[in-house]
Amino acid sequence: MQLMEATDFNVTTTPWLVILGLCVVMALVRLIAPKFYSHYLWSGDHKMIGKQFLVSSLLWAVVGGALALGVRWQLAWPGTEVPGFKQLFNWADGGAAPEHYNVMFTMHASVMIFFVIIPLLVGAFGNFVVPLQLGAQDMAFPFLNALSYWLMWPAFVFMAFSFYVPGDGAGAGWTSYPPLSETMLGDGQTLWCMGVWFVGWSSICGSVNYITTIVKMRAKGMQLFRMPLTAWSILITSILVLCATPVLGSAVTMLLMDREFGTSFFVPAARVVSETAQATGTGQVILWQHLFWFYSHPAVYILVLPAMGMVSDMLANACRKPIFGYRPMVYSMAGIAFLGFIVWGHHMFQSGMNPALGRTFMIATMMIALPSAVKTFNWLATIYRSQMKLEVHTLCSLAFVSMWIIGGLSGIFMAATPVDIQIHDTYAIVAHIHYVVFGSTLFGVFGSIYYWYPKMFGRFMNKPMAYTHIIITFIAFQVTFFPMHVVGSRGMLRRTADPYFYGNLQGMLPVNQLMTVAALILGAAQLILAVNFFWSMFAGKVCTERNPWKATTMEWNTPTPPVGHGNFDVIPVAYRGPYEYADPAAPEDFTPQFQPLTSAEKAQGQARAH
Amino acid sequence: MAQSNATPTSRPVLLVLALALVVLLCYGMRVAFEKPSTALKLALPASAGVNATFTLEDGSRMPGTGNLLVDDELVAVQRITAEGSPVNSGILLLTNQHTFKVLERGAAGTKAVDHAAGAAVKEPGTLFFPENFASFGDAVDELFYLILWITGIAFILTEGFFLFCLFSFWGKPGMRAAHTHGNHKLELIWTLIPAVILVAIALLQAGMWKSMKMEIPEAGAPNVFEAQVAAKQFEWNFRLAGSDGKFATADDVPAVGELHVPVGRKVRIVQRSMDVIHSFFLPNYRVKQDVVPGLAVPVWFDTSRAGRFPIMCAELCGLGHTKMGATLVVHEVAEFELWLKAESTKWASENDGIDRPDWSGASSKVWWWWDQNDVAVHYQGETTNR
Ligand code: HEM
Ligand SMILES: [Cu+2]
Ligand SMILES: [Cu+2]
Repeated sequence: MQLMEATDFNVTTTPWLVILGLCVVMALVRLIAPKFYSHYLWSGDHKMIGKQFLVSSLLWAVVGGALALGVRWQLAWPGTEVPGFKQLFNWADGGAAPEHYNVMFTMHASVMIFFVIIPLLVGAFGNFVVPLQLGAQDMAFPFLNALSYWLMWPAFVFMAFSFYVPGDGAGAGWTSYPPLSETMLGDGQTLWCMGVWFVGWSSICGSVNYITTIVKMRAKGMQLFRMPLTAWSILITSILVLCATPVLGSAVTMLLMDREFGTSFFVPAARVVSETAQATGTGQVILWQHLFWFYSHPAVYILVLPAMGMVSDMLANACRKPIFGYRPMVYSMAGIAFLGFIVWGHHMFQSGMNPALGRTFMIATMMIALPSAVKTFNWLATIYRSQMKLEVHTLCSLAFVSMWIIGGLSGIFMAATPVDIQIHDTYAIVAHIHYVVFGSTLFGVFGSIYYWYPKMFGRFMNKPMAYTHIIITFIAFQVTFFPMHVVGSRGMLRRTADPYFYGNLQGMLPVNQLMTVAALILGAAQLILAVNFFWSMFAGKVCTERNPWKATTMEWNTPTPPVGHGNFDVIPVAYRGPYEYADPAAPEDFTPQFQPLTSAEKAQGQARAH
Repeated sequence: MAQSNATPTSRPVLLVLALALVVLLCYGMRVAFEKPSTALKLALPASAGVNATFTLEDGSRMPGTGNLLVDDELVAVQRITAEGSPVNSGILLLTNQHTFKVLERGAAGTKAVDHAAGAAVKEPGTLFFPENFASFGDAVDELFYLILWITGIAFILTEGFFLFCLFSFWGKPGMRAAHTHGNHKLELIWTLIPAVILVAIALLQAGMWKSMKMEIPEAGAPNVFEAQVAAKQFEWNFRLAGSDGKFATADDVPAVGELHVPVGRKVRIVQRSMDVIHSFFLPNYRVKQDVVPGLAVPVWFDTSRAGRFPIMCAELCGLGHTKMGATLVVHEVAEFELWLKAESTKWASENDGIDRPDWSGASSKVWWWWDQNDVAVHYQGETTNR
């Protein structure tokens, strides 16, 4: 058994020891300070778990962001040391060598996807917001909920250790295609697999919980089609997670077995390992790609659907206007989720997969752009003839809508198979990814932080800081990522430490330096958010109102912050749809879901019933 | 009805402004999409032939540094790789940055070399794509630009409308937004229109994809030139059949880092990888195909002009991935025949006429491996051999 071998001691044992140590610490805390333990550590309260996810994701975002800047640094000044990386990651070359470049982009993407975006959207906001929006006292399974958070910790430990193991970290890309991911000698890749495996478990625990909660625990009157879109998006996302994540888990397990236990799921015939050795298996290299993308395509929608839901809530609030086409919004999310399962092959057009299949996937991919377009039009129609109110979450949701258009449109190029030949694996793909995940999702997340912060912590975030953050981020984002469309389609490859090795890419150095400078500004701007986030927790303007944004959904019917475990001090009842803004018959421009029907409304309802 | 609207009077003005913006952006797109990135139009005399060096007007000889007059623009170039690689037209000389670096470009100056009047010179790449030399590439580029137009217009319309809303609909105290929950007819329209456009794009490309990836020219068919690619970390190995026209024989011509093919033929390539996945990327021929261990994946393109073109590895393959480049050398036919004959004879004698030789050189090991481990030529999921 390889696990037991003495030479492997450091690698496979130390992280486990650390995890064990963490458990011991937890147990001790439980003994010494049981109150602290059950409130801040193993809390069953969805609000606390949401905050836990929020804080740990934001901390990992710092790591992910630093790695991204390392990547950009190399692209602007190839072969030079990235300031601080020598100390940070214990790399003698300070990230200048290609092996460390590979680790940087691999871990950047892995951290951002698995530790930042997914936990932020589903773990943090799903947890905090959804039960409140449903009028529920808590999630259906508090234990499972806490488990889903604490399962992230082994993943954190494994991934963190993967930087420091001998033979270097995981450097086969976040997609970790074998055989590269199997022939990489460093144990970082093994730890990467372990990390992803635990993230998968965490996601599965979470999704079961969300589905049950949303199906079973809605308050009186909260019919499915009265749920705010955030709740809808989390329901649909959870179904995606539940169906897709086991596939990733299996794939990662197979990869681990291939690496450590000599199986050959992905080992093809006659693969040369070294000068003298040849590995012969009966496996299929491309099998991994099918399994991986069967998870990861739905996963890219997991990365955006909840943000779509949250932005819909914020946009209606910002515009003081009902969401245009509430039901089409729901149906299009469901459509995206369904189609999301039959388009994975669009990541594999050039992979050696039978090109006849490529055509099928191309058509499905074209179709998935359709619900995306419908949502865009609905958001635009929501803004039309609205009465926008200037708040930070207004700007964020507007940024989301405008950036989503770009990310969605660039997807059409890649869906067109002949065009994809040219842009696959280039910076055009990187541009696409970042317009959807940064431009859209992350702006949605920023907005959500500013929007729900008062409900979470009972204080407002500082507004001038928030505006500065959003405006700098927006501008720096465009300068960083827009030119990538152009350099990418001209042939600049992704995942190359020194693209200027190629004569035909040499001319792109100045543009890349521009992008890097913008990226550095972009990174620095996030410090404003970090400062604001933690500073406001203690010194922000106190919010005593229940409903500071004059919103219509159920979470604004709780005290601020919501009372202990149980949330509501009144019995929550939903009397109407989620977006009753601007009703001309109402006394105010918003009529919350929890506001009892007026006698006129009652009469109207009865008249309709007869 | 407490009806809305921030500034009813300024609305038409904004609408006009937005429309003007739309028109302006469309015009900008036209300019940007159709602007060649380099306006280099010059052909050096074809008579210059292989391995020629040119005497430039300022007296310097290529290789080295010199000036070229391109249209009415003066371009200073410097040879940066080995001397003597074949160059036979100015456009290649200038775009092939593997060999040359453009030092400086300025206004008209001295006339550098003789013009080969009337020599066909293709428009170099546009803002987005590098120059194309493959026959199927034009269709790809057209599709790209078609999608760029469609998405560009969609972009301008949606973002234009967005900006219009952004400026028009800020709340005024006491005002209320329009109270609407949707509109079925509108929903239907904006679902159907994109649906039609997307289906149209999908149908349009099906044939193109087929001709690029599925209708691989048969080996042995007339006008088909065959080559083999063996990728390994971090090196491109190429093999051509020698004078006998067969592979796995003593007179095969192996090469590392340079794929030599004749001009005007369909090049059919079978690719295999010894270790991990690589990807064979020829940006100027709109070719990209992963090279997958365990499969022998076919790929093809045709050549229309002689010159040297970059081959890149597009799939992360490990530490040396970033330096896994090679060059496609397209020769004039006559010159290629001569070259192949010479090489073939050289290798035949080196192998003592033995087929499938157990070569000792590092690169020959690759071909030993290839010949020992037969794999049917196919894509994944395809049972028939090609
Ligand atoms: C309009 C809808 C969309 C279409 C048609 C589309 C299409 C595509 C295609 C065809 C690719 C593969 C390109 C290639 O590697 O050659 C791709 C890559 C990608 N897309 Fe999308 N996409 C869409 C929306 C999204 C959304 C909403 C997200 C995430 C929130 C997303 C995230 C990604 C990511 C992360 C990759 C790159 C994965 C990688 O190779 O590392 N896309 N997209
Ligand atoms: Cu996808
Ligand atoms: Cu490579």
